[in-house]
Formats: sequence, C-alpha cells, structure tokens
Amino acid sequence: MKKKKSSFFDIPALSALAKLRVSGKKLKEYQNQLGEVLNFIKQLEKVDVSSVESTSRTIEINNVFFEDGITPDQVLKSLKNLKIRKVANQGNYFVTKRVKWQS
Amino acid sequence: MDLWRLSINQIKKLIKSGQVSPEEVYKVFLSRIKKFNPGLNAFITVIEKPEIDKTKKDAPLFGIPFSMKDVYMTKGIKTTAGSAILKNYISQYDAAVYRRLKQAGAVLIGKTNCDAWGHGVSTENSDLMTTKNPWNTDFVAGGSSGGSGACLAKDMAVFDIGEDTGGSIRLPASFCSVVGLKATYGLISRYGAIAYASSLDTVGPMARTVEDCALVLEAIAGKDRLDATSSSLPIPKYSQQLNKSIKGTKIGIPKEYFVKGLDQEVAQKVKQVINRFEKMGARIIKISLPMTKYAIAVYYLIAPSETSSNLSRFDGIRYGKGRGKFGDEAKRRILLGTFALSAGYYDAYYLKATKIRTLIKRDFEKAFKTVDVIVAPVSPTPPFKIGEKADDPLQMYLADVFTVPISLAGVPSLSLPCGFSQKGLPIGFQIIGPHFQEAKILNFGHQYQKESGTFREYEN
Repeated sequence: MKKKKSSFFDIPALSALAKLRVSGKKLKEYQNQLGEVLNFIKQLEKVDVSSVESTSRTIEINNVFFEDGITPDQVLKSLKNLKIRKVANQGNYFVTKRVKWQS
Repeated sequence: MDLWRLSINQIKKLIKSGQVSPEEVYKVFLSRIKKFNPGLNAFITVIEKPEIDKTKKDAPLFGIPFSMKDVYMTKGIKTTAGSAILKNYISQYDAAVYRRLKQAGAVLIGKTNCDAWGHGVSTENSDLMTTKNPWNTDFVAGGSSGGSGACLAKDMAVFDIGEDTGGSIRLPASFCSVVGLKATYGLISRYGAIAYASSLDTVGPMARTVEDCALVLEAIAGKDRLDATSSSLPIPKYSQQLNKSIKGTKIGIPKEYFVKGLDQEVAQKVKQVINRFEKMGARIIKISLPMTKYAIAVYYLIAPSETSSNLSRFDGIRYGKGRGKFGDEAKRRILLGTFALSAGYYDAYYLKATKIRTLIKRDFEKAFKTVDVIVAPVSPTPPFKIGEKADDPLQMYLADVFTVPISLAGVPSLSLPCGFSQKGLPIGFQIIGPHFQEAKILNFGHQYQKESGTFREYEN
C-alpha cells in the first residue's frame, strides 16, 4: 500500500513548548513518525460530536474532604537521605542546577 | 515437591501447617529468578533478603512472594518506571497497593521491567533493557508490564502487580500465557503509582490462575483517601464467588473484534473459547461496538495529552535526571500531547477525542443491557519478533486495537490464555464486564480454566 504523505508536525515549536531538545536527524525522524500518527488520527474528523458531552472520567467521582493536618508517615523529616546534588548549609533548602536555558 | 508450581491457597496451607516456612518459599522463588532472569530480563530489582513480617501470620497472603511492575513506590527501594531519568531513584514512601499487600502479609521479591513510563507494548521502549518472551526469546513479552508477564510465565513469583493504561496488563498476560486483570478505573488506589495517563491508569493483579487473581484483588481493592478517584463501593470476597454456573448467561461477541487484520490462528483459538462457553451452557449473542474503529486514534490523543502533563514534573530538580534523558517514545508522546493541548488544536483534537470517548463508553453501556459479559481477542496477533516494529510507532500503537476501547470506557477486562500458535507462542482472550463487575468476569474466567486448564508450561 502506498503511504500517505505525512501531516506537518512542527517539532521545533512543540519541543520548545515541552522543554525538550530535538534537533538534527531526530527532528526529521519524529516529523515523519508523528506526521503519520496525525494522518491516522485525522479519521476522527468524520465523527459528528455536535451534541455529545466530553468524558474525562468514566466513573462517578465525588470530592474527598478530610481534616487538614500532618500525617507523620508522609512528612519528609530530613533532607539527609535525599539523593540530591547538594544540600545548602542553612535551613532546609536544597540547591539544584539551573534549569532555564541560556538563549 | 515443586513449591513454585503451587497456588496461593496451596502455599498458604503448607505454611500454616508448618510444612514449609515463608523463608523456604521465598528461597525457592529467588532461585527461580537466579535461574531464569538472566536470559529474560524480567527484573530490574531483585530483593535478596525478604522482609517477612511474622506478626501477619493470620493475614490472607502471609509469606506469599510477589513482584511489582517498577512503577510503584516502595520506600527505600529503587523505582525506575523503566526510565533512564529515574534509573537510581529511591522511593520516599510506599504506594497504597504495596502498603495493602504488606498488611496482607505478602513479601516483595522484586520489581519488574516495563516500557519507560508505561509507553509501549513490548518493553522495547524500556530505557534499561528489553524483556524476552519466555516461550521463545526471539519474541517480545508484551508490554508495558512485560517483565511481570515473563516473571509469572517462569514462576519467578506467585503473583505480580501490573499497571494497565491501554492494555499494559492484558497484552503481556496474553503474550506470556498468564492471567491479568485490568480492573474498573477507580477500583484500586493509584496513590504512589508513577502516573502515565491519569484518567486511564489502573492498578491490577497478574497471576498464573484466575483464583490467585481474585485472592490478590480482594486484598488490594477499595477506597483509599489518598486517591480521590478511588471508589467507595464495598469490596466483595471475589475468591468466594468463583463457583457460579454460567449456564443461561449471555456472552456478547463484538463483530468489530473479528475483522480483517485479525490473525487466523488467534481467531481460531478465540472461536474455540466461544464454543467452549456455549457447551458450558452460555448463550452466544452477536453484538456491535461500532466506535471501536476510532478507539486507537482517541487513545493516542488522550493518553499522550495526559502524559505530556504528568511528565512535566520530571524537570531535573525534583526527581532524577533532566529532560534530556527521556527516550524516543516518551519524547514522541510528549510532543503529540503538547500538540493536542496547544492553542488552536485543543478543540479539534483533545476535546473532540474526549467526546468520542463518550460514544465509546456508550457502546459498552448499550451492549451490557443485553449481555452479561463480552468475549474478544486481546491482541490481533500472537507475540511479534523483537525489533519487528521498533522503528514504526504507528504499527506498535495498533497492537493495542482490542484493548484501548475497554480502557477508554473504564470497564474491567480479564485476559487469560487459550492456547498456542503453531510456532508455540501464547494466544489469549479477554472477558469484559460492566463497571465494578470484577466478580462476574473472574467467575467466567475461573469456570473456563476449570474446563480448559491454565496453559502452563508444565501442563503441556
């Protein structure tokens, strides 16, 4: 079967939104693969949903309320055992590598 | 005596009568792991020293060794989700399902391999290793809970806790010839499970028999205040509801699951199952689930959208390594989800998918007005070769064609073995029931296994 031409998938814009770095060979590869997936997904255009409500949960869910308070077994008592790069000297703070990319 | 062949009840009896100790039981299964795991890559973590809580002597699963898919928090033990990002991450607390199993006296023996973040059908998307099919190591074990399937096929644990979002328990159960239950969404707490797609994720037992599945389910199901989506419905004793006759019941056969593309050997085996049920006194009724054809497209909009949100927490600060460590499949799904949720596309893609999800759910509601359960294949094909679909994500996604409609509808489904292909590869089928009717599908499954056996290696 002849493959349909892939739909355009703007990888650079989407990867910036998703905080992912995609470039070079991978950019082209993902472009083709996700374009094909998007082609497949486009079959949904045929379905008439004009009078249909959306479903986000399939069972009935009620809000859960309980008294606010500390549950001791859920409290992090010390930063000592955390596998983080460096613990700051003062207070219960920890230091990480900067995340924001340099432009 | 081959202890490793025994069921939960049989092992419990031996422990209770003092014929074996929990330590001896553990040792037997640990030696099976040492023997088979190196050739299969089923386990990411193996626990050499058991933590047997002797105060739980009267608990329902006392001394039973079990494994868990490596997506559940286990305090002080590594939890990787099969990912490079969490390769060395040590859990800070226990998942609800693990806590309940410990309370029931069960003993964790190890944590099993899976596609990273649950993204896959073969474990080839695991950042750590690929699990091989125990029946033929050239083939995949299924996924994403492939390590769990392989572990049980070679009796390396008595039962396992898998996780099913779009088929991740049912497919490896089918590919490895074991039993797997995708529970109703909300039946079992998801607290402490690394989230893939939160409106679809379900925790579920995998085992070698339906009876063992029922015993585990009654220990782990039920309301948990730490999971707002867990149901408050009372939990029945599933194991005590396995001996009801199915005579006079109605089984629906959906025509959309027996279409072009379904492997002939799979079709033949599932038809044998249907004939068997008919001989057992059930009425077979042809039904239609017309929205089935749209389920894969809907799933691959909703699940990636939710995963793009869930995986945003992996920023290199709070957990594990940075986003550069995501594998190809995780990146593809994050990008797809980001696309479906972005301005200008949200209504046309994500929102539309959630509306078609309503139609898929209605299909099942309508069907269950006329039938008790639905019987269908789990996978369109027997297990495929390792590497066969690795470069074609769309083909990989289509392996889920018969499992994702059930996930989108949130109904329960039991996957169980029904034979082998000519190449000796396992084939499975699924019994689908209405919401929270696990007792019913487990009973159908148990009745089937009483007639047909469990398709274990030592039964052949």
